[in-house]
Order: sequence, then structure tokens, then C-alpha cells
Amino acid sequence: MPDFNAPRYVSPAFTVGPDPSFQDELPITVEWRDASNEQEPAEPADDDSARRDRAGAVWRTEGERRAEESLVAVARNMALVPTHRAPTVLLNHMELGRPIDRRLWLLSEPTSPQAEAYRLLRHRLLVQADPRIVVVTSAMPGEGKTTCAANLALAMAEESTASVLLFDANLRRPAARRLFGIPHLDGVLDGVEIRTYPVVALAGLRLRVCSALNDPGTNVRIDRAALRMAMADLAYAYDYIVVDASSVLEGSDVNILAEVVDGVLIAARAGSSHRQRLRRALARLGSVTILGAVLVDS
Amino acid sequence: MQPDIEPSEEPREHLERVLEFLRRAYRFKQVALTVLLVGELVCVAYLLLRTPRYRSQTVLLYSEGVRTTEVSESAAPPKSLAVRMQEMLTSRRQLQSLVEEFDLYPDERSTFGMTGAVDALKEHIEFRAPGGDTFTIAFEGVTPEQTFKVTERLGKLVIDQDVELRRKQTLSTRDFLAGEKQRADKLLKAAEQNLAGFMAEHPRFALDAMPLATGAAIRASVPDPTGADAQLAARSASGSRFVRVPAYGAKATESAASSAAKVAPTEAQLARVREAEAESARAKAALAAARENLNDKRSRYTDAHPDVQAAREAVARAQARAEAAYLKTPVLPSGPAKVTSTVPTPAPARAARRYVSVPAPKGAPKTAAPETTTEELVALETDWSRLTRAVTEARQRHDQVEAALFKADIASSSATGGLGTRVTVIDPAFLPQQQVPPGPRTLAALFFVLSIFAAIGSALLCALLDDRIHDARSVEGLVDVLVEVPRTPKPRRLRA
Repeated sequence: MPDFNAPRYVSPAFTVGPDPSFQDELPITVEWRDASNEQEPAEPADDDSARRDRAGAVWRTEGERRAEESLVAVARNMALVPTHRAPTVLLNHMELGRPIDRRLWLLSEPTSPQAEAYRLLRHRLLVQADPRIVVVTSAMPGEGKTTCAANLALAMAEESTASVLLFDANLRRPAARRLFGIPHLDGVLDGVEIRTYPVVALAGLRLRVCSALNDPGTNVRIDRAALRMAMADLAYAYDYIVVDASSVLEGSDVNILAEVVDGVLIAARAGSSHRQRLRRALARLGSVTILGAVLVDS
Repeated sequence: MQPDIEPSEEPREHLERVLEFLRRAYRFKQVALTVLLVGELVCVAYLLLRTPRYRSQTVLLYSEGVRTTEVSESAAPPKSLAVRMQEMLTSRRQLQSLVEEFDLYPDERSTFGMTGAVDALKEHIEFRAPGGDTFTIAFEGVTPEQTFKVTERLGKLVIDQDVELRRKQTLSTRDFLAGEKQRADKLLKAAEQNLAGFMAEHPRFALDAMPLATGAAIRASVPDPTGADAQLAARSASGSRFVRVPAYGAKATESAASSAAKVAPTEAQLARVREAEAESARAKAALAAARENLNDKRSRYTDAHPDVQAAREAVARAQARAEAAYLKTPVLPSGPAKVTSTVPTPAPARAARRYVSVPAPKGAPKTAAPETTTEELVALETDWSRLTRAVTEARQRHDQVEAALFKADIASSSATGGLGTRVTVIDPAFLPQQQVPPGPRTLAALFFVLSIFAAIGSALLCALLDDRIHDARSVEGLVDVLVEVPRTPKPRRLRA
């Protein structure tokens, strides 16, 4: 079982190598897949050098394989930016850098009232409806939905048997990656510029963070059919999925996401959110399942 | 079974809500401070830009000196007096001289000319007439010295104008009345001359001491038995005989002398006649004097005054005396009559007529003989009445004009000598020591208090209009709040 109390490494946030949280299992290596070539993954080599070969891939479990493939499909369909390269998914693991963002209460101050509040939120959600896929949104930007989603995902990941995915589906202002300090992973490989969609497994946690896009651009939209299929696959792979969506009044993304999730959680910031805007957001959501509201900074 | 709600919960909830509202309003303290600061800045700007105002005033008293009007005649009503004083004060010509003298309102003069400066001066002059006789003139200026001098000058201006106006009024009135008196004199003289001419033609009318309709009735009702004048016949019936003598000391006409009685009077009779004539003359003189005294008294006092009443009584007594003397005058039996008399002509003789009882002369032309036709008699009586009425009216007019001229003379003398109606300063202008309230300190305190109220009000208004969500209660009815995450405390260094 992963040791959540293991000391964190004071090291660069990004490493490539075996996931120290799964010492008893086969290490996870970075897979580099070029979908345009439709190459099948090479058979793993028997020796260690083969395992470190970037051209090789070793899947830990079939479920994770399917999950990563789903993420590829989602990412591919979520980004309609023309590219000569099909998008790929990189699975990385990283240690959280220092200092940890204070907003991640369950990591920075696990015994604080804020951390307890998110644990209480987890408890109430599980007792009330036990939703497996939750969308966290708000009426307007900057009202604490990313913080709420991240902390809720961390609270759910504290369960010993749960595997949780924090899915950043905010196409306009993706902030989950920055919250965890996940670096920008776009780069050049073999002379070719590649857009990547990192799924990051956080060391010591049963939480993985996936960002939809590194660079939010224009003309980006969510494909409903692909999203539905991806969510079905992801639900197979993960026990809980917390989706950090954009704000309701910014667009219709939340309405699309709400169709494939079990419920919507509304985040509001005390002293900042407006009642009238919240009313309009609820009216726009219509008949979706509203699990409740989280009042941040109360 | 539902638990009983503690009755103290509701007031506590209300109190908590109020406190929460106040806490929310406190969040807008920056707004309140801004409003307060703005208010103070406005106050400072106002005090710096505000032109200081100083006020001075003077009080004038309108008093009548030597009275030239009767009590029954109403003096100038207070309202019209106040209006007149105000008009004198705010006359454009006078104010223009003030503007030029003290160089007032240079900005208005340069922009709008003298008219604008005068209008600006009018706006800062205040005139009040709290009582009937006192008037307050106040002025607001920018410096104490200027305010004092202008106020003083305004008071003096009103006084000078009033004196000049009254002087002109009295002089013009006197001149007018003098002219009227001359006209009245001429009219009176003409009327008397006409009457004298009529009496010369018809001597028997001269015997009518009281030229009233009564004498005409007697003459018309009592025919002349001798064919002589009817009045003579009436007098003959009463035992007296008269001869017509022209009035006002004119010499007796030949006809009058020729109409004397046929029997020559004795010395005793003549003496009695002379004595009666003297008595009659004295009575008439007394009557004239009494009438003159009455006119004099009436010119000074009202009819209700005791002196006027006494004069009237004296006139009545003198009249009775004259009538008695007239009736006591004996009638000589016959003889040519000598025209009276040695009695000196009483002065003034305007109102006196002398009738002397002498025998009717022989051969006197018959006037108004009984056999005269009725129409001729009526015409004569009508002419007599008209002429006597004309004389009476002319005399009355003359008396009235003379009385008015007398009053005008008195008024002119009193005005010239400063004893008439005048305006005096009873409270002179003063040098103001402080600005017109409210002063700078008062204004500053007032602005501060208002700013405080405005600041508090703005904070409360912002809290009232604040639509933001502050707690779970704010979203009641919209969505269920699953959890409230406490506010992030101040950042502290994480343990390594």
C-alpha cells in the first residue's frame, strides 16, 4: 500500500522512472506512442536496458492500459487544433515539489479545519449519493472550483482502497496542473514538436492528475460522444473521478460534462460570489443533478 | 413531539442577523473612509473658495415733528411709508453712486457693466420695516470696513432723500396753494361785486341780514301796504322802519335817501338810533371776530377740540347778539334819514354787512311792489339766492384755501427749520467683527458630521445592496450547502 506519510523528495518536480508508490509492482515507464504510425507497442525486452528503452512499453495492468487509451481518445477529441501529429498521452509520476501549494490543504496542513471540511464533504457526498464521477464547477471563474476539486480528489484518495483521477476539463483556464506544480510537458522529441497530455501519478498518493490541454487555445470544444466513451472507460479504471470543469456562465462545457457524470458540485467563494449569478448558473444547468454547494473561504 | 422553540432564539437570531449585517457593512469601511475623505476635501475646498461675508446694519426712525395734519386725517400708512423708503433706498441712481464711490463688485462691472453691479448690490441689501416707524437697513460685504461704510452711507442716503423730498413737497404745495388763494380772492371779489350790484338795483334785498330763503319767504308772503318794499312793510309791521343802505360802507344812494320817512326824527330818536347802530356794529364786529377765531381754531385743531367748540359757541353768541341788536334798533317815525353813521367800519369787514334802520325816504322807487308779478318776484328771489350762494361758496372756498395755505406755510417752515417730519438714525452702523454665520469652524464641524453620516450611510447602503454570498444563509433556497470551508488563515511557513 502506498505510504502517504512517506517523506517527500526535495527534488525536481518531474522525474522519469519507476513510481516509488508501487514498489512491489513492475515499474512504469514512459511510453512514447505515435498514433499516426499506428505502431503496436514493442514487446518488452527481458533485460533492464530494454525496460529503459523509450520505444518499449510495459503496461502495469490491463485496466491502466485501457485507461490510458481512453485518455488518448479523449485528448484527441478534445483538441481540434490541427496538428500533423496525433496527440499522445504521457504517464508520469512525480513528487510534489516544495513548497506545496497551501491550497492543497490535505497535503500542506492535513489537520487544518479546511482539510477537515473537505473530508466532511467527501463523507457527505459518499453518504448522500456516492457519486463516482463528480463535476466541480462554479458560476463564474475564480470562485474556488479547482481548489475544491483538487482537495476533494485528495480527500477521496485518502481512502485506502480508492483510486482517484482528477481530470482537469477546464478548456479555458486549466489550473489543476499548476496547483500541483506539474510542469509544462510540451516539448520537442526527435525534432518534432509534440503536444502532450500528461497524466501524472503523484508520489505517495493514489491520485492521478490529468490535464486536458497544456495550452488552452481558441476553437476548442468537447466532443460529446468521445467524452461519453472516455468517461465510461475511465470509470472502469478509476474508483472516483473528479472533473474540474470551467464555470457555468462561461460556456456550455459544464452542460456537456454534466451528461456523463453522476452529479455536479457547485463551488462558491464567500465574499466574492454573487447570489444573482449563482441563480443564473443553476438555471442554466437546468435538470442536472446538483449534489450541493461548497462555500469556500466562509 | 416537536421540541419547544426557545423564545429567546428569535431575538437572538435577529440580533445575530443585525450584527452580521453590521459586519458586512464594516467590510465596506474603505468605501466609508473614501466618502469621509471626499467630504472633508469638499469642506476644505468650500472653505478656501468661499468668499467671506460680513454684515452690518443701521436702524432709522421716522418721526413727525410739528404736526400739520389733523388727527382725523390719516398720516401716511406704515405700509406705503415702508414701500416708499425701500424704493428710495434701492433706486438705481443712488446705488450706482454707491458702486462708484466704494468700487463695489468689480467683477460684475467688468462682465455685465454698471447694471450688473447695481443688481449685485441690490441682492446684498436688506430692508426691513418691523414696526410702523422703524426701518432696518442691512448690508453684506466682503470686508468689515467696506460693509460698515456702505451701511452708513445707505442710512445717510435715505435720510437725505427724505429731507429733499419733503422740502420739495412742502414748497410745491405752498406755491400751489398761494396760486389757489389768489384765484379764490378773485372769485370772491367777483361774487361780491355781483351781489353788490344786485343789491344796488334792488336795495330792499340789502336789508336781508341773513340772506337766506327765510327773508325771501317773508318778503313774498307779506305784501307792502304802502307800495314800498315788502321788507320795509314787514319792518313797518314790526314797528321799525328801515332805509336801504348799500353794503360795505358804500355811500347811500340818492334813491335810498329819497325814500326816507316823511316825519323828521327827533334828536332823542336819532340818539337811540345811533346807539343801536353802534351796538349793532359792535355785535357784528364781535361776530366777525368770533368767526375768524373759529376759522383759526379749525385750522389748528379738529372739530372735537374744546377750543373749537368754544369758538363755535362764541360765534353763536355773537350771532345772537347781532340779531338782538338788529331787532332792538328803533325805527324813526319820519323825516329824512341820514345815512349812518359815525360808527367806524369794523375790520375785517368781509363778512359784515351793515343794515341801518332809517325811515323810508320819500319817493323811493317801489321795488318788489305787491303788485309785481309772481314771475318777476320769483326771478328776483332766484337771482338773489344765486348771488348770495355764489358769495357764500366763494367765501367758503377762500377760507378753505387760506386754511390750507396756513398749514402749508407751517409745514414749510417746520421742514425748513428741521422741526417737521424727519428720519433719524437711532442705531448707527457698526463695524462687524466676525463673518456672517455660519463661520468656518461651524462649517467644518457641520461638514465633518455630515461626512460621518454619509460614510456610515454609504457603508450601510453598500451592505444592503451587496449581492455577494457571505454564508450558507445567503444561498438559502437556491442550493444546499454541503460544507463551508473556513477562510484561509494568514500564511505560515511550512515545516520542512
